[in-house]
Amino acid sequence: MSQRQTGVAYRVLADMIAGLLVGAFLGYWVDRWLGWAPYSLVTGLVLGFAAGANNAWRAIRVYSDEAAKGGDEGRRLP
Amino acid sequence: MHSPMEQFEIKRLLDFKIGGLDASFTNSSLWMIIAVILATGVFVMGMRQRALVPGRLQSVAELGYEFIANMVRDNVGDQGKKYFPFILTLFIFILFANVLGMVPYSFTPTSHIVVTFAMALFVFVGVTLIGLARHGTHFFSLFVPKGVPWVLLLLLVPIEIISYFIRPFSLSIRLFANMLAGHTMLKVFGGFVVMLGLIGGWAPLAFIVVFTGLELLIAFLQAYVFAILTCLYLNDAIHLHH
Repeated sequence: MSQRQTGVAYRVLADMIAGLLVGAFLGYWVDRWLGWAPYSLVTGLVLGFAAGANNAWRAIRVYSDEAAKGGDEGRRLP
Repeated sequence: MHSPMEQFEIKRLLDFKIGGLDASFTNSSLWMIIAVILATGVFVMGMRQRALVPGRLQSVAELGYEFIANMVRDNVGDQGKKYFPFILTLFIFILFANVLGMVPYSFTPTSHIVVTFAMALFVFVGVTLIGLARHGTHFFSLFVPKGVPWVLLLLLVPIEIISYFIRPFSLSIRLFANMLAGHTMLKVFGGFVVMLGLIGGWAPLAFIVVFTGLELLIAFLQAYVFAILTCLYLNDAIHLHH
């Protein structure tokens, strides 16, 4: 595995985890604030997952675009 | 036998308080200061000669400078020049903190999420303020994907906003988790060497040797990823597109 691929893999991993964490935190906070338990926690988890996947998708897309062009590896990472 | 997590313990070296806040000088602060002094040393000493044909230390300093200068130029463009000193400082500091953490008996400040989150939050707030200062309210068009029917926007805008606010978390979690996991692994396998003794201890020892090499690579790679993501976020804020 090249250095660059390792970088993209770490980025995707962190994006997905952070998405879930932030979504859960926001949902939990709204639950506590408005007393909607557990609906906003569930909504937050779903939105957070979607946002994390969105960020991860963006990272992969830039990487695969670069790879398809076959150019300049290692300079423009994620 | 020591616990593998003991290496991450914060120890107070000098106790003092500022208005009720615990601002003691810890081993973490000590190693951050060592990183800053060494990094400054490399650049100041390296560039003192200003030789046309660089010596060893000058080569290192120039390599680091050009590496980040190219990164900023490729990813942000000419408008990124203003922010180059900040990104160079960030990269060199994280690199030195990570690599110094590989020295036995040292401490790795970047293995603590407070440290990495503080840096990530600074980048996040800074980049957002730069975007707002440059584009005013037009900055918020970053959250509205183009060419999407308005019904879908109701779903996509919240996702884009959360995506944006995830950034400091993913940035800090990545750096801290890599450092924490790597150093814990090294310590755990170090424990195996002692437990298996003279007969079986060689296998984990060989693994440690290989893994130390990988850890050095990760130390560089994570500093690189932190710097390049800062560049990409800056690019988003300056040019308002993904």
